[in-house]
Amino acid sequence: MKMPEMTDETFLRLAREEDNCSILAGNLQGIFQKKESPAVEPAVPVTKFAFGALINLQRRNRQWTIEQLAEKAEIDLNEAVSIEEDPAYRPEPRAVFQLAKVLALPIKKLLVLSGNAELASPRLETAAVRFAARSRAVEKLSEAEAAALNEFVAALVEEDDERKVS
Amino acid sequence: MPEHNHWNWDRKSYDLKFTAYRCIGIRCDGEIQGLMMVSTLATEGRSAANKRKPVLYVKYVESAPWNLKAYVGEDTRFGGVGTALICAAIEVSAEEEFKGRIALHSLPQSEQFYARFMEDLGIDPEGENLRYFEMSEEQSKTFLKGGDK
Repeated sequence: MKMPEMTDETFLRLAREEDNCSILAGNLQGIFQKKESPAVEPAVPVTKFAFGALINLQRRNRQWTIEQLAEKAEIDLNEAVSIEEDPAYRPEPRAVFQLAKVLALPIKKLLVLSGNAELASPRLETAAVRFAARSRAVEKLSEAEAAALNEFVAALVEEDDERKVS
Repeated sequence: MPEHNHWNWDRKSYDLKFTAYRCIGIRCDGEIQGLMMVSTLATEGRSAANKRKPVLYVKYVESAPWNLKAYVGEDTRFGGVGTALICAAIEVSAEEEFKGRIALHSLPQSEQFYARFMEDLGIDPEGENLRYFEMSEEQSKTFLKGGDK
């Protein structure tokens, strides 16, 4: 069956009216399946470490907890934790966009650092590698960090003890 | 975009194992600007106009983020990605003898776009609570002529 063709004029008008809005429909889950247990996991690019470290330091610089960051960026708390803690985690572009907004960071660079777009700038890569290397703190833990650490260790020990008892 | 970034379509398109799906992409400036996947297995229509008639189910549509105002503001690269992909879906539907009838589940942020030229059949609890839209033969012809539904 032959359908009428859209004229160029009509297409241009509809394109203007579309106004670069979202057209996202459907869901890839169920169609695409993750590769089954690859023999060798692909290496996580160093830029991904930089992304997590950048979000972490930006957040701490504002003295926000991860919960506060998640709330302000309107992203899931699990996602916020994964972004900071798991370099292999690749956030959805929406989350990156929200983070860019609340942390006043350039969205395009963040899309690259987060693994949502490919890197084409050697300068950005060099800067990201250097940042990832330098952002690993060597200073003493702050009181809040020490308290959080102690609390978590105490919970771990407690749970371990409970298991031994049961 | 100031740098020649590439939307990582590999993430979206790796490991495709089903032959009943067709992937259609729009390539400009050597890059994929939008991607769509349709199921060529006939799906029964739900709207009054499509009742007991086969429709082409659009399983997935997405535009590259640099073409979306929500991501890059006014600095978008190409427009009309959605319009072009819907045209392509209608064409595939016609090729498959579904007469231009198509259906999809829209994500909330895209509902306004699809509501203009497709029939809104409401939230579909069996479609991940996404809103389900259908386009009839007449609506697809109207769309191609540039009119709203």
